Amino acid sequence: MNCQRYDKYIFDYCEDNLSPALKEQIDKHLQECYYCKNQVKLTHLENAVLGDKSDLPSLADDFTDRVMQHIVGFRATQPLHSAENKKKTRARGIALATAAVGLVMLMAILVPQILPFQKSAQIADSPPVSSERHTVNDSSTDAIQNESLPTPSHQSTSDDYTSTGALPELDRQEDVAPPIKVADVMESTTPAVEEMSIESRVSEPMSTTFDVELFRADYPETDSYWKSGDLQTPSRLGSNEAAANKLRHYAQIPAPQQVPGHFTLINTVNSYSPEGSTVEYHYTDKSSRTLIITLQNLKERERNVNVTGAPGASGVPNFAGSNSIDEKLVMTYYVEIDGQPYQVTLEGSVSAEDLVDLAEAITFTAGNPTSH
Amino acid sequence: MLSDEILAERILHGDTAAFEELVNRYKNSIFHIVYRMVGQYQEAEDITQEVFILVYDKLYQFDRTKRFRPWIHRIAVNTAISNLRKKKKVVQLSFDESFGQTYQDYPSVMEGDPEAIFERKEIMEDIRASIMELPESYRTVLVLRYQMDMKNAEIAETLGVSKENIEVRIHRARKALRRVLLKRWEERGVQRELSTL
Repeated sequence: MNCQRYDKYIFDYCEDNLSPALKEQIDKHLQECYYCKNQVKLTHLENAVLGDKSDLPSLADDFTDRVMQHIVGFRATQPLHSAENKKKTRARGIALATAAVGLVMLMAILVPQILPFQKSAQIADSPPVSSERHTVNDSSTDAIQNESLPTPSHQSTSDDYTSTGALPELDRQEDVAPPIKVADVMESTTPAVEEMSIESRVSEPMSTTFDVELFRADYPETDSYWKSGDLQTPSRLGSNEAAANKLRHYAQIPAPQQVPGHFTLINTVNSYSPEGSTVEYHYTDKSSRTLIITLQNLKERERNVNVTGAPGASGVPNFAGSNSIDEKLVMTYYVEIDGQPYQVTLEGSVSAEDLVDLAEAITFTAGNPTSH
Repeated sequence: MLSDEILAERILHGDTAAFEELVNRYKNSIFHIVYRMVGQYQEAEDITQEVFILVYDKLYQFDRTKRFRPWIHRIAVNTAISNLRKKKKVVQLSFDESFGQTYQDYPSVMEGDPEAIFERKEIMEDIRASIMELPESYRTVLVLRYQMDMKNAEIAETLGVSKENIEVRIHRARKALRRVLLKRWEERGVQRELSTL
C-alpha cells in the first residue's frame, strides 16, 4: 500500500470506521511510513480540537426568562403575527389574492362585451385612468370629404354602410344649417377657432391633422345596465347607497332626443371615471348598423370647455373632429345644456355624412331618450 | 415527558408554558451550535435568543409530520450564518473563546517534553484558527458532526440534504481544514515535526 492510496482512509482510520482487515494493513504501513504517521497524528489533533467541548460556555441562568419576556412582548405588540394567528392571516391573504385574480379575469372577459369602445381603446392604447388626446393624421377627413357625395360608390370606408346609403328619415339640412363654430376644446394643440359651416366642413378641404379624442374603453367602473333605456330602473345596483347616488347622478345627464326612429335603443351603460360621469346609449337598426351616443359631463372633468353655439335644452352640436376607427366612424363634439358642458360622441357603422346628419338632428334634454 | 411535536402543537394553541419547556430543552444545544459558528459569547447569546423568537414566530410553518429537533437546529444554523454574513465578519478567536481550551482527553498532550507540549498547543491554536477560516457550509457540518455528535443522517435531516451529500461535505471540510492549516504554516515558514507529539 502506498501513501497516496492510504491518504483517502486517513480520516476513517482516525475515527475507527474501517474494517479490521483494512485497519491492520494501515497499521502495518504506519510502522514504516514517517509521512503517514505524521498525517495520522495531525488528524488526531484536529479531531481533538473539533470534538472538544470543554470550553463551551453556559448560557446565563436567566436566559429562558428573557426569551419568555420577549415572547410575551411579541404577542402583545403583534397579536396578528402570533403563531396561532399566522396561519389564518396567511390563508386570508391567499383568499384575497385569489379573489383579486378572479376579479381581474372576470373583468377581462366581461369588459370587451360591455364596453363599446374596445376597438378604439386598443388603437389608442390609452392608459387606464383617463382618456388621452392624440394628434393623428386622420384618414377620415378624406372620408368625410369623399362621402359628401351621396352616391354609394363614394361611401367606401365600410361595406356595411355603403349598402345602406343615406338615412331616409333625416331631413338633409346641409343647405339650411346655420354656421357653427368649431369648439376650441383641444387645448394648446388645437387650431384657432374658426367659422365653419357644416356644408363647408363637408365640401371643403380640411386640415389633415385633427385633434381627436380617442376614447378609453376600460372605464374603472361600470355600474349598471338598463334595457329599454330607463334610467330610473337599475337592474344591478341593489341597495347600495353609493350606487344609488350614482344612479341619481347619471339620471341628471341629459338623454338624446330626436334619434331617427329606425334606430332602436338596446342598451344604456353608465360609467364613471375621474374624467367624469358618462352615459352611453347603444342603438341598432334592422340592418344591424350600430350607433352609440355618449354623453360625458365635462364639468366634473373641470375642463375649460369653450362651447359655442346656442345654449339651451337641446344644445347645438359643435364639431370637434372625427376619426375612422376600424369600420366605425367616431365624431366628437361639445354641447352646452342648461349651462353644463357635455362632450358628445357619436360612434356608428354609418357613413360620415349620416353621422353629421345625426349630430345635427339629435338634441339632448333631461329625461328618457326619445326617438322620432 | 411530552414530545417536542406535541409541545409545538400546544404552542400553536397559545400555550406559552409549552414554549418555555421547548426553550429549556434546546437552549444549550442551540447556543453551542451558534457559539461554535460565530465564536463570540455575547453575540452567540443574542443570536440564540433571536432563534427562539424566530421559532415562535414561524412555528406555524413547522411540518408536524416531521421531527422538531432538526427543524429548530436548522433555524439555528441559518440564523447564525445569516448573522455572520450580515456583519461580514471574520471571526478572530481569542484563546478563551470557542475551540480554545486544553485537551485533557488527548493523553500525550500534557505529558513529556515541555517543548513538545508548547508545540502541540501551538498546533491546536492553528487548527482552531483554521476551523474559523473555513467556509460556513464546511464549518456547519463540522460543528454538527464533532460538536453536536450528530450522525450523518441527522445532519442531512437538519440541513435538508442527502446523507451522501453530508458524507462528501464532511470529507471535503476535513480536506479543506488540512489545506488551510498547511497554508498557514507555509506562510509562516513553519516546518512541523509531528513525530514528537
